[in-house]
Amino acid sequence: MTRDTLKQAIYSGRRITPLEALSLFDWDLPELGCAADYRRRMAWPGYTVGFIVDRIINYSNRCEAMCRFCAFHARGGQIPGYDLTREEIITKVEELVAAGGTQVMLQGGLHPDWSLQTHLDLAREIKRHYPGIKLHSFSPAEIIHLARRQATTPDDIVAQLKAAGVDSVPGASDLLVDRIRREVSPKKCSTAEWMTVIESLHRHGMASSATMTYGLGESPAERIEHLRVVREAQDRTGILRAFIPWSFSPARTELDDLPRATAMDYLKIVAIGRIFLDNVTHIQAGWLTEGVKMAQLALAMGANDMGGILTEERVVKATGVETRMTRESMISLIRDAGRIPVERNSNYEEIRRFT
Amino acid sequence: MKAYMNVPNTIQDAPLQTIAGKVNDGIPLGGEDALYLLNSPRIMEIGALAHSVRTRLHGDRTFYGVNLNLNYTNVCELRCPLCAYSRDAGTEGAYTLSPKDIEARVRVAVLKGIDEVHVVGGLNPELDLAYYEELLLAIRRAGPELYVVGFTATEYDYVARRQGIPLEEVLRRFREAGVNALPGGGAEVFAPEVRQVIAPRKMPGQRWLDVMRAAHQAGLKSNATLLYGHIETPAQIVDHLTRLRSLQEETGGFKAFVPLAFHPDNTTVSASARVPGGFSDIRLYATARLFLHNIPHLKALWMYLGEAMAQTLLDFGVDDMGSTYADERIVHAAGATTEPSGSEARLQRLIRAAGKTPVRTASDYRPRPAGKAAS
Repeated sequence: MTRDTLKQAIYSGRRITPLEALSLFDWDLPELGCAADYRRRMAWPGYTVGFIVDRIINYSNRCEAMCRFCAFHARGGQIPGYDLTREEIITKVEELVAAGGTQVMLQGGLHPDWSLQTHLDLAREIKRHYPGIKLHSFSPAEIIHLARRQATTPDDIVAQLKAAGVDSVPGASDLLVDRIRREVSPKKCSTAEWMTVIESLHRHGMASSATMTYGLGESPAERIEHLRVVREAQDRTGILRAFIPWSFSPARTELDDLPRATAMDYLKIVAIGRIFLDNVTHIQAGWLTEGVKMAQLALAMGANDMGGILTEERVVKATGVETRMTRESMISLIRDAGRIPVERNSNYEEIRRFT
Repeated sequence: MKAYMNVPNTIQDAPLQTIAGKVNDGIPLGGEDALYLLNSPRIMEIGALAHSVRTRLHGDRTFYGVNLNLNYTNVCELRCPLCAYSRDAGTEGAYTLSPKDIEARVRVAVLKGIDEVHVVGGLNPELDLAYYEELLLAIRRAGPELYVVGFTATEYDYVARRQGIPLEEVLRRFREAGVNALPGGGAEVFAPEVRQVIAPRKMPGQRWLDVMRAAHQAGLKSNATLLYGHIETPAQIVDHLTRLRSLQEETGGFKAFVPLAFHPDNTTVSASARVPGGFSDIRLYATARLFLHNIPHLKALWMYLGEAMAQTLLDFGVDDMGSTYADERIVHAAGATTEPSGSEARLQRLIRAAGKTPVRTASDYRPRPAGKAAS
């Protein structure tokens, strides 16, 4: 297949094969960006770009997974462990509500001591105080971990989290390639287990998302393989509200000898993600990991969402990456890209637009 | 010639189609075209055009240098609001390197394998013509093979006035003492109303152009800069580019255009209204590539822009990532958060990861053998 035939296929809206997607890595950024933006307009016509006022609450850094790519988890003698108290967590939610926020992401780890009941109580308590807040919380890896711990099925855990008030679960997919998972996060759920959780969420009418962490030593073909798994999950369930790629930040992790993925990798993955994932409506630009310049450029290469303000994120910060964002800077960044900023809710519905 | 025949087909926007037609036919863009590009959100279409020009000129070759940055003094009469580096004579932190210091520094850098010295400094009234000549001879002694890029137009003008000798003579004597080419600094923005705010005591833009004309006529090539991202308007950028392009028509002496992204920290110029996104960088570089058809190279300094943006620009018209800049101080004084110097391996990796072929060079753009530099 020549480049021109592939280009025609993309502009016609046809589904792209993994092999075709792989060849897109050789395209120049402007050419790829034009094609991805064309597909973006097919998936999301118009010129609005969404963002959400949310808060990540990293309620604990104790984690049994001890992934090699993580600089956040407690390590004996090096990084002291912490657990936020129930009161501290509620105060943080209260602050978010006062700032007009709508979504809380509770993110911890595979906690060695917390039972399912602790998780459920936390969700219930937040919902009791703030029923209007959406809990976009926990992750497939935590659900698999809790299922093992309680000797039950992931489906049962999902049902109980839902009953306790969890609205949706971030896909937290890392890289869905088992060769890489075995190397960098052997204690986390496998690709098949991830898929099982997504299907359970679907059964219980809950939404999720798909992320992608690249730069873990994977090949370009393995990057496409991740996208293939995501597309298949979405074909089966349709519950993935967004695709959110970001690069691995090696500093202060066990993998700090890996060369950091470059800006071009990021922009190409955004664009190829948009072209390949013809069944996912929203693609988020990752200002937190890639910086505001690259995040804004992503809006011209297939992204249509800037994600959250993410007050107080700690996991990425632990690798030394620090980017701050406010509602005002988000709005001006989107406007400067020739788009219309829209504050949205967890379900990607418009709350207000800044014209 | 028409490397990107497919580009206009995907452009929906009528003025952009016209511009694409001119680019494909090799017709110079007008000022109104440049103004349109600088205000357009269609950065991918514009980028595709700029990339086609870059590819036509340089293929996938991407230049970088291994050099030493030598800021011989930070004492400067001008004390421009845009600058975080300069000091008044005798105040804390003020310094002037002696020719002996300079020779020692250059010797160390030569051992590390540099090809080029980039020497610029402040307008220091204590220094006489002999100082500059000794400085240049010291560099020559330490590295007879080095390519010496020396002194901004502002410094030549100052030395000529201060010493009461014609500019042409300063150029001739410095050339004889070892200057091979001029850097492009001091241009800032030519528009007087902008200079009045960011560098009120610096010589006028027209004088900068006159010094460059004289340098080109004296057989010295040079770069040209633009300091952007502060208070300038798109129309003032177009004016700046237009003047550079006209002088280039006349002399052909500019090798590279080097936009400099303004860093506001520790300066007294407020750029708070600026959006720190990537669109403005892309627009500026791509427009420059399309409008400055007669200047062969476009350089994106990773140190000013960050590695991510500098690498990205390689697909939007840029063919030169700048140099390793050992010892750079001026932009870091203004809050640039990039590393003080880059290793050659790092620049090569960024260029290769962009799918390009790294070519080690100096400001004359003759290829140098790669890889002899230690980091």
